[in-house]
Amino acid sequence: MLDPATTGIIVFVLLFLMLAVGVHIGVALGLGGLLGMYLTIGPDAAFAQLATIPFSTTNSFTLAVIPLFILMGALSNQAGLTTDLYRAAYNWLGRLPGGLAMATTLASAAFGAACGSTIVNAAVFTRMAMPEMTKFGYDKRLSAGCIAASGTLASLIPPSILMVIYAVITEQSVAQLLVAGLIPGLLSAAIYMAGIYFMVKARPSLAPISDIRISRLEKWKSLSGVWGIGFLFILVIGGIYTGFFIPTYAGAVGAFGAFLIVILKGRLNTKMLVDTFKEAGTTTTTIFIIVIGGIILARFLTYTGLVTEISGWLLGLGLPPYMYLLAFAAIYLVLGMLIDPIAIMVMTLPVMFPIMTGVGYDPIWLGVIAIKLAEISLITPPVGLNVYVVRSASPVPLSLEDVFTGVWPFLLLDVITLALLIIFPEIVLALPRLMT
Amino acid sequence: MLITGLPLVLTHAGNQYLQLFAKVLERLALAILLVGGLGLLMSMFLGVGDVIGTQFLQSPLPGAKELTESTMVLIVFGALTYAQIQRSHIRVELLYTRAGPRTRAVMDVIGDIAAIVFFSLLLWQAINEAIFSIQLKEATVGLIRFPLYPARIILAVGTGLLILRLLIDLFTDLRRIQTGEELAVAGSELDNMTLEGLSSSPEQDTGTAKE
Repeated sequence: MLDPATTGIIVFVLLFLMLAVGVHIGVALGLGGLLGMYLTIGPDAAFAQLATIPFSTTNSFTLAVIPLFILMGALSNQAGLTTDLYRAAYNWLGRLPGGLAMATTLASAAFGAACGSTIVNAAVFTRMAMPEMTKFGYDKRLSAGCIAASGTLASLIPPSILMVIYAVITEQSVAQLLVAGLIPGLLSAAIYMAGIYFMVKARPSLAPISDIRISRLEKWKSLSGVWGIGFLFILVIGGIYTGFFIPTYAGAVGAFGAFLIVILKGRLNTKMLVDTFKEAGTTTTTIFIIVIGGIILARFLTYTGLVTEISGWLLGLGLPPYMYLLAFAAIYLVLGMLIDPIAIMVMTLPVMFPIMTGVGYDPIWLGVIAIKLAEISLITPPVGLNVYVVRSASPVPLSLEDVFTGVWPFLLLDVITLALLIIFPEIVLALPRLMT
Repeated sequence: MLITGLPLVLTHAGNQYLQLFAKVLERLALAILLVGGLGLLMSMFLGVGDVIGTQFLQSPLPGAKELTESTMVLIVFGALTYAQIQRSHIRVELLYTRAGPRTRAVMDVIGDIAAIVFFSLLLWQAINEAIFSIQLKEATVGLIRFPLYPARIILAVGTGLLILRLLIDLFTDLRRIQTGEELAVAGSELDNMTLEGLSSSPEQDTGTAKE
């Protein structure tokens, strides 16, 4: 048997190598954790964990909310809600300075209320909003940056898959965390929109005011397509907030609502169902394999006492809390360049959560900060994932440099949001505190 | 290279069998995924039913929670093989996207082997658990004794199918080292997220996304 510290080093070197050569993240995490336990507490204990974790993770009522939320997003997309949202936002904001970009942000945030995935959000809006903004002479860097950044709103605005995963790893209330993301998500969207407005005011050439004329009647008419998402949102978040149902059932009710909208719009057919199932199944399984691998690694870290040792040592340094927060932020931003946000959470939280709560940070607040950081890392140069998504989904020719240049102002706006959340934690905590 | 001799041994007939096998496996994987999808839809209805029952009729739907849990195993382990066929399991692509076709093939081979090792160990444990569960007539504790062994069997079967697919992938990827061909994938799953007929793959050369 090896001592935990030496094993820890071996495991992390091996894990890094496996990730670098492109071994599936879940497999790399799982093998790393398994090897760690094998070397420290022996083969029997290691295999016993492998026997129980995959079943207990999937045969879980709490985690069942993830596929249900994914189903809700997939069905909403099939119902054409994104197009309706964009049309409505476009009709109402189109003639303001930077109006189309603001409409993109608003519609993207609203779609975030039905869809929990940043990548899906960015891809869908790139295909829809990019040609539209280009048509009206918008600077393509502004358009692309706006879409990449707005895509990240989906992870804060409930329902959010990342939020559920944070809650499960840290054993916090899923309901409280989902609700906690709402105001920070809306705040992010508002700050983006204000930023766009002032950018375009300062440099009108970025976004010529469009000369489209939309009658008042048309404006109100376009809102009729939006009732669906409003209905879904109130149903799901209202239900969670009032405790009318638990999050898993909120997922069921939300998916059912989206299903009804699909039927009402006459879009229910076999092909649509098959596509939805393919998407929901594939997304669910890829997420769960990472979670299973992550939990195996976490078991190794906790069972061998490594977590206690590392966190004890770090807490023993007695630094002021903000130093720990800075380190936390740095780790998320750096890892975010390489690794999927879900994997970052399952890898870092078992060690970092006890440290952060140990120096006095609120667990719910920390969840929102962690997700905001993970989302910022998705648009941070040199390798922000969402930037690549926008580049490759764009029907308008774009270079990576274009998107990265366009994303910079939004990164600065995100820093403002983050600073506000840190200085005024009540922005995050007020709503969940009101829940019983 | 040592390993590249292997695919050459494969005769024309052998190759045809492999392709047929891959096709059958793909059909099977899709079928299981669709059953899982129907299960998800059923969980959705069960959830709504249970909410209505609990809140309005003072009688919760018996077994809704237990059935949902078992269905989740079906969704995750049922879709596992199909996701591998689409190569949509998430990996770090920082180096991968910058490598040449042969280096990529080598990286894929390492990835295949790591996955085969991990899931074979998992399968071994899953089979033991399933057998134990059947012998024990394992069921949930509570008012209704909901049997757990079907979900345990699904977990083992799903993992087994994935390993078969990984073996096929290992074969193809080994051959790619030799030929230097690019990987041909049926299509990214996000393609199915069609938006009013707009569809192009958003997943090419992403930083850390799907393959």
